[in-house]
Amino acid sequence: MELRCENISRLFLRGSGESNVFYAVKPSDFILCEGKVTEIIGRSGSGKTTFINMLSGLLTPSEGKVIVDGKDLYSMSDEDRSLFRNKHIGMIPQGQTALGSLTVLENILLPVRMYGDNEDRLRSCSNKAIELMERLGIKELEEVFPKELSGGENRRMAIIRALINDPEIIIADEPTGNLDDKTTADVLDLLKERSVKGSSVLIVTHEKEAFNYADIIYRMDAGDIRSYNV
Amino acid sequence: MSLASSLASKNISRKLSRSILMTVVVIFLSFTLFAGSFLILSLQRGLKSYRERLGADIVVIPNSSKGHGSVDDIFLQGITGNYYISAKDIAKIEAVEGIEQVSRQFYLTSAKASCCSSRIQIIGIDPETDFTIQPWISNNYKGTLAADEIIVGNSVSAAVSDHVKFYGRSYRVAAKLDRTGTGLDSAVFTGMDTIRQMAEDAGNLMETDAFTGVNIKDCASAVLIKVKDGYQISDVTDDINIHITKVQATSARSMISDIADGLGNVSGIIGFLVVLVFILAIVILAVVYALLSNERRKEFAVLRTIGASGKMLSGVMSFEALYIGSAGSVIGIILALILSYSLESSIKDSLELPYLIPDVPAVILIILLTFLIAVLTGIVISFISAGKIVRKDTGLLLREEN
Ligand SMILES: Nc1ncnc2c1ncn2[C@@H]1O[C@H](COP(=O)(O)OP(=O)(O)O)[C@@H](O)[C@H]1O
Ligand SMILES: [Mg+2]
Repeated sequence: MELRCENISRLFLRGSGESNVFYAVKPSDFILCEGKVTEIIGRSGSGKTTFINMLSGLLTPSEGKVIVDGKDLYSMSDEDRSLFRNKHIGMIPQGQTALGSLTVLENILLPVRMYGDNEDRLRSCSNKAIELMERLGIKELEEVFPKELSGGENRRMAIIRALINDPEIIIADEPTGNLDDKTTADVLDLLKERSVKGSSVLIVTHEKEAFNYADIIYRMDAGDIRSYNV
Repeated sequence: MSLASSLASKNISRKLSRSILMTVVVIFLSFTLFAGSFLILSLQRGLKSYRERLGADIVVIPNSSKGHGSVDDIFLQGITGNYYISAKDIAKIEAVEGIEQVSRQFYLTSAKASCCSSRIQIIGIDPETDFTIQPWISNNYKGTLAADEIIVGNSVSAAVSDHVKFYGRSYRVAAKLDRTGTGLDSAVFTGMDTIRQMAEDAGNLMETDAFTGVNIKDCASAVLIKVKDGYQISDVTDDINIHITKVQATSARSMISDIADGLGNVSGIIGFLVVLVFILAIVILAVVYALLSNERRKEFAVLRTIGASGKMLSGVMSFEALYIGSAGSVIGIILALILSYSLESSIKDSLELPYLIPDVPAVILIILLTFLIAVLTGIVISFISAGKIVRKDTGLLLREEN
């Protein structure tokens, strides 16, 4: 599934300073291609998170459109957009995002349970979850509550949770932030594999070692997004 | 179980201290709502029953009883003095214009009785003319009292067919009356001949000197009057008070309105307190929800990234409020029920007002209403506070705690 942005931008208010409105993301066009790994690099504060939140339907752009599957994401109703996100967009937000009152496995299966309680599907997803946990080395944490997890374990849980519904679009905000080299490679292999199977994968990172995985690279600089050629 | 309700119950059980805090607030709210309305209803029912018991337009008592046993004391507290209106004065009262019916009552304060720990009021009525006590008695007793039979008020500790001794003579309990919430509950009722017998016995036993020089056979402790249609109660009252010096006539309506005033004050205060606590509970709930919403914002933002709609998030919060509200109000209502029933008599004593607890259907109604209000309040507040979070862009919420 292709995702396309037309002239999107986002303004924020600065707490203090001379001009108090600024572009966190300057008006930009962007296409996320099917079957490819697209990467965005850039310094902290350059607007990467703001940008991909807009792509995921989580942050209303100040201007412009995000078009997925021929539909404008922000002119959908809240329910339609939420359902669409659940079915088609796997989002891995920045930071720690486990839900404290659910175990690791419950967290991972939540997107499956959210719309409909088909037992067969739940069982097959449960098996898939355990496979993925095994692959990323957190199999034994199945029944553990998030407060016992390390930062890296928490991130891996969030990655598996985003993949559990087999989304056509995968958007990951610094997914390898807290991970060691081996696990970073495991995660990026996994995401690459998804793109080979046809998903559109977008990864935000500022680590150069991720370069080997990218098909397309963009660079953000003070709200400007540009193609980046090595 | 829907996702929202299962998430809600997991949130409750795994965030125990937060859940307990909210539950305590709801307990507080429902307890006050229930206990307050129970108290107000009891007072209202007491007044209603008192009004029904009184039944007369005018009550005449001897002047000498002023300050000892006023009309209020007699009917509300059950305190009677051994003071009497003479046969001559009764005849004068009967002759006053505008009177339809007159009925005498004879009161006696017993010093000792086998049934009772404290002094007991004995009220003798004249079955021929009585129009106030008998309609009430007829709920429980339809026969004619024999000379050795009595009827007891609801709080007298004697059962039907028991024998109770007064002044050395034994009397059979023929019936026990319904509760009225007034002093009459602890009184004993007899026919005129029986009470005269008791008075004579009392005199002989020298338990009292009140009857020295009194012609027990013809006198009365009080005379109850029904006024003829077309006559003003106040005119008749004035007429009696002006022309018959040894008695004091009081319009029953003015007695009731005195009590109604007192009751209005007390109900007003209680109602005010209930409203105050209600507002306080709402404020506390709102503040607690606001404080907890920081924690929630992140939770909700994460739920949204995996596809939860605003409706679902409101659903999670509403279910939490429903569960906590139900648990809290059930506990609060049970506590209030226990307290209201166990403290019934001490509340009654300290209020010095007619106090009659509501009947079962009314209690069930207060239970249901309290439950509904307490639960709905929580749901509405949670809904409002969920709405605030839901309206915000998830992207902004996600940043907040990072
Ligand atoms: N809600 C907000 N209010 C004000 N400024 C914001 C907000 N979100 C982001 N910013 C600012 O926008 C810029 C880009 O932020 P962000 O997208 O998080 O950058 P990155 O993810 O590249 O580190 C930063 O200067 C940040 O301070
Ligand atoms: Mg960022």
